[in-house]
Amino acid sequence: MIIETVLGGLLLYAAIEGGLAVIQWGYSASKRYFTKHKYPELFQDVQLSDKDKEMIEKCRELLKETFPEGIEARIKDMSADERMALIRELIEKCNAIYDLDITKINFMSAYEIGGATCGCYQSKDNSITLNIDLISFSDPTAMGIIINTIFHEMRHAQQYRAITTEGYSFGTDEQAKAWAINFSHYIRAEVDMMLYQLQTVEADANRVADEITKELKIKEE
Amino acid sequence: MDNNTMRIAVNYNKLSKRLKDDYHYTTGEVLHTVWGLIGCKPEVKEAFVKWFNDGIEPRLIIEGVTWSQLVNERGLNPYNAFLTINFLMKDPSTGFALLPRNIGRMESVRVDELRPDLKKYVEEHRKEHELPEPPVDDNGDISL
Repeated sequence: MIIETVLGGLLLYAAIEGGLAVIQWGYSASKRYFTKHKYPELFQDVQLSDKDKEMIEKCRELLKETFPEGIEARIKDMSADERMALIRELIEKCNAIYDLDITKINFMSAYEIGGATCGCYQSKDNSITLNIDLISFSDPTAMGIIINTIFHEMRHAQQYRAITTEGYSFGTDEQAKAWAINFSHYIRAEVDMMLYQLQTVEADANRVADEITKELKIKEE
Repeated sequence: MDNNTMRIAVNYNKLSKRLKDDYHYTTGEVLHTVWGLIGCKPEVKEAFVKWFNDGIEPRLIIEGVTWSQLVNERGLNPYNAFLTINFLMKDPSTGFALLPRNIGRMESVRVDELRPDLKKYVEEHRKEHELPEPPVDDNGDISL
């Protein structure tokens, strides 16, 4: 009787310990999974298509026409209003190359748009908003940032068009799937600044904008 | 665990409420942050718990960049700053290349906005991308 009770107690103890071990393993496994993998589908390195490369080349040509001697030479005698007009003209010309129809362009202060934010694309009204403070300074480096931002935000417009509109001219099947997955689980910069930049749609927009602007001269010699 | 070992844990409901009330995080963003903190280096976790529970300003620094600078000069919210400084510590070459990059702003896209074939694709893969709830003990705490 005593032996049976002791054996029963030992079995119960072993069952409890075993159960706790499984729970601990499960927690550790999920912790390891997350920290190692971090949902990799949001961080896909999708290659640019041939159509993207053609677009990039056309945009580079557009920049050479717009800033033949570099940004500083072009804007140094311009007022802020003239710089804004130049930006509107650049976006209008980019629309044809990007196969977009962005006509609403807003300029907002850093206070309104968010201090570290250079610009944004808003799908609800197909608009681009740019940080006017960067335009107001007669600073070619700041203007260079705005130009990079334009190509970046227009790429987001393309990504959005590709995943919402059948038959759109940009976005391969692979790209559209990767973008759709990411946009349905978008990581905001306000939440995680590093992973925000590494996620698929942001890495893609950065790559396109950087390729277009990499040879753009900023300052006069 | 001896009496001198600090318990690296925070109350989940309190953390969730502060993230939602103070910074308008969604539930998904709360989970992203919680699991991000769970994956942080030990010194970052310890600093986070001391800050969150006792208001002690972290003395985290990596290559001259401090948590305080990320908050005060870069404008990150404190939770974002912990995740960011942890990234800089774990992968400084990538992190410091990303740090000066300009920030844009996009919005999530609802599944019902997607074209039909992609809507089906995202819905089929949804489960793979949803983070689980973290384990919470009887006190409502999560152990980091």
